[in-house]
Amino acid sequence: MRFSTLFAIMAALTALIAPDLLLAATEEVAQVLEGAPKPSRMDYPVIAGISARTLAWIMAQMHLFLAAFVLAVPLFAIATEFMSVVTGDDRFDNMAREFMKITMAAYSLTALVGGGLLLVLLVFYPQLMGYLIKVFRGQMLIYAALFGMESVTLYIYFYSWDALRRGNRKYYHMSIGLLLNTIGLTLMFVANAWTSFMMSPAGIDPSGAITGTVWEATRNPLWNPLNLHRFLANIAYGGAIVGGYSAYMFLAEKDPVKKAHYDWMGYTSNFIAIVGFIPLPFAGYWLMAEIYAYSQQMGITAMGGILAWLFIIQAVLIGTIMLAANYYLWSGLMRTDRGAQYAKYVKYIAVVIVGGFLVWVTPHTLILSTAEIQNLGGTHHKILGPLGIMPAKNTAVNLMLVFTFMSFQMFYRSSRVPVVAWAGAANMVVIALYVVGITNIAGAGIYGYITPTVYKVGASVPQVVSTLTIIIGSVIIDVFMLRGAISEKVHWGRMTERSQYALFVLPVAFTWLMGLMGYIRSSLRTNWHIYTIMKDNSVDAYIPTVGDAGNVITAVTLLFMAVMVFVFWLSRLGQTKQKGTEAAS
Amino acid sequence: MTFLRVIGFSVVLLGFYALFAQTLPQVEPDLSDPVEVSTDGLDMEGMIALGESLFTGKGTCTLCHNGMGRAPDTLEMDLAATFPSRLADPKYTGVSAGKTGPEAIEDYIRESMQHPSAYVVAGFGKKGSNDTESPMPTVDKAPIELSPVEMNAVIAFLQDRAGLDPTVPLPSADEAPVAEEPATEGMVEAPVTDALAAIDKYNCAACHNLKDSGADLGPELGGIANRMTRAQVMEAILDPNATIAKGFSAGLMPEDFSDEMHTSELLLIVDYLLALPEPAPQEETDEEEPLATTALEVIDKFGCAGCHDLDGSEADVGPRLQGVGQRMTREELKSAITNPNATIAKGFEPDMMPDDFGETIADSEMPLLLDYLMNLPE
Repeated sequence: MRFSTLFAIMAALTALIAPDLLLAATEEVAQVLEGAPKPSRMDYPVIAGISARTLAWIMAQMHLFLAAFVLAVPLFAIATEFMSVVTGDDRFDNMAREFMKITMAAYSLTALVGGGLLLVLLVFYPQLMGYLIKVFRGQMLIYAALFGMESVTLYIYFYSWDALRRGNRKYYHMSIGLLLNTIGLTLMFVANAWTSFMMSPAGIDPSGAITGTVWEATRNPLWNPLNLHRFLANIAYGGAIVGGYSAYMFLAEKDPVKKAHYDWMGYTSNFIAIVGFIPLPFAGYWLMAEIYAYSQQMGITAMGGILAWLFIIQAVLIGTIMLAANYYLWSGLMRTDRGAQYAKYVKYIAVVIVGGFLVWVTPHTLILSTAEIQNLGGTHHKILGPLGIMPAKNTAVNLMLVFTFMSFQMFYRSSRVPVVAWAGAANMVVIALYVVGITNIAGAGIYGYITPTVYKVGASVPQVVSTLTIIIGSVIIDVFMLRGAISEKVHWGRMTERSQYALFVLPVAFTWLMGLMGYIRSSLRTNWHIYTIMKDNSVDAYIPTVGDAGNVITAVTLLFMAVMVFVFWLSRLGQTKQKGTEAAS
Repeated sequence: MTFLRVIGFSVVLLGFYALFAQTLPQVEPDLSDPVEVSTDGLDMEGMIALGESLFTGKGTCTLCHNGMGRAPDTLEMDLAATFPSRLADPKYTGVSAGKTGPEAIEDYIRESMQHPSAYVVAGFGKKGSNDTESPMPTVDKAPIELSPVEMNAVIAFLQDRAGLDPTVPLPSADEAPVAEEPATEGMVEAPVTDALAAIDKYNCAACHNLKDSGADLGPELGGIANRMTRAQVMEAILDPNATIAKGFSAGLMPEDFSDEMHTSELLLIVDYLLALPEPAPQEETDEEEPLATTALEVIDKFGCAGCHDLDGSEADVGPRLQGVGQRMTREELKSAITNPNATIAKGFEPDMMPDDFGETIADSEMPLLLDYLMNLPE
């Protein structure tokens, strides 16, 4: 497939999101619709005592978990397939196919739960759905059409794998993969438009009457920040789930060859998860900055109001993820014979990761009772209070990222002995990068304490630049320095069972984290279906307590993990042959 | 078997997260239906009180108008001086530009609620807007949706704080609009916003010699800062029977202030008490000037506005102090007051400012002055 053809397809898909870019039929609709509906409490159907919000919450969250996974895996499947073409190593191709195999099993469940979600919303929130359909008009039908196209391309992509494996046919196969990802991302962007419209409506007047085009409603202020955040989070999430699959298969397998394969797959998945995860805090920062810019009240509700405690749970979850990912990487040092040389540094990295986690989890501005104020002797703790503000947290998260990268780098180097004459000098440059970068991160953090707020925010920029400079600089130097290096054997499969459970922590913690962030994002609308436009007058128009939310999130995560482990088990069942039937297959 | 082990592991991990969520403070939602209060027959005192509760409740004003630098700290600033200076500011071109008097201030406040970008206080504009666009929401639109009567009540409250007689009309009987009782996040009654009102609300002067009540059922609180720390004062209010002052009986002071009192009220009362001067012997009271208990009293007492342009004094013998908190740390500012000739601002002369403020400004007055100056907007 030529690039021009692909470009034409992508342009057509973009136009499909906003049909009125091509068909200017908005004025007629605007005349019909006067404003957003104002449902009273009696307008919300009550059916058999079912809690409509909890049901919609569970269905939406399950759909989101599955969809995030199903959309993310083809992204790195095609990247892995491309790696196989570049390196000529069939292991990458086999792994990409196996990634897709898990996706196939999850895909039908995604559609099933998505259909269930739609049904729940139409039954319990008919006025809201009716209004959204009027705002987004034909886009919803196009979404359904895209879903059909996604199904077709997904099946073709997976089932044509062996038929289009070699020579030029491989490029045809990768083109199908590219098309699949284009449609998948378009689907996500369309769904994000509806979600972000509910938070920051556009293309309508204050009464809710439609005054703009579908494109204006789509391109609301929070659409793009949400797109980027979900795109990166999906990659991290997909990597974590596939890592969980690899860990499961590693634990279940007895055959050393297969164990080695799943160990390698687990390592690669962990790598993908962390690569997606590293830029995520920065995308999150952009999203929150845009929320503040759109509505300062909404921003304060998130960061300094009743939702502030939730960011403590977020810190605990991210801390768990960082600790587990690093523990897995340190365990991986035993795969190489030279790994022990690097093991002595692990304790120092552990101190930084745990220290960073403790700083991140330290609260600052919280709603306190008078008795708590009395115990603290003020609204902030005298010693620990300063650790709760942004300069400390920015420093902590940047150092955690730098040292996680160092864990990766140690394993990468442990299996390669450089042969270039300038290796010593290059190592000195890498060390200098770390020393200068870390000093800069710490220095900018200290500067943040002694400068007014406006510069405090600015101080985080050199910290991020330092982190990225260390990572990118080290990667570039390592690539050139280790070109033609003496490769030492990596004993794939030489891993403890405990390390696999660490790998399994990632999907569990990521899933709970996604549930938590979804709860926060939805709660920002407070008692509005569509912020400032359509009030939620149902009995559930309040923000549930963190404990109640935690129970729902735990239940959905457990349900999702049970489904995924069942999918893993099915996948393994598909490979199992009855004794005596091997020849028949 | 692997299936069960992995599921079991997931359950344990998820159980930890669920448990952790339960251990955090649970902010219970207020599920009661909004209460409607008739404003029919409301007098001006009632309007001011309604405005105050709207300011801290439904209006969500204190979400940003507080001491955290998100917006000017309206409840702490000297509104009597601020409003006229805003109207006279050449940057302001709104409905009251160049005018004076309480009616002009009423129009200015209403305009700032309905069109917040009409005048943006320097340093508080939207990022990148060069202080031409305000981040403040329009209060008569969603999500705040104050009614015209509610906006009038807020104006009356702010005019009252500025020492003016409110000029807003009272709600008429035929209009008889109703106002929702402000949401106060589950608390029964909205908090009061100044220390003396808090002392009235909790009837402190009935037993303690406060506001010249002369009561002696509880200990004398004048000069308490010299005998107790801030934490001890808080403890004495919240858990009064933990330590009983010599010569007084246990069990007399209510023990439920930790449940009844809003945090902000507790802090107001504690700050007020810590700033109380020692009860001076009778013969000395005629000779010594009493200790100031507010920042503005300190500024008056030591004549700061005679040389510095403090909220409209326009004096230029000393440097401008607006926004000084963004240019200096608290310690630097204190040093500039107590040792003024150590560093002289560019364009100003040394030896102009008295160098004995380190001795003459009392320990209880200095924090009040520093708090005020550090929070002065640009």
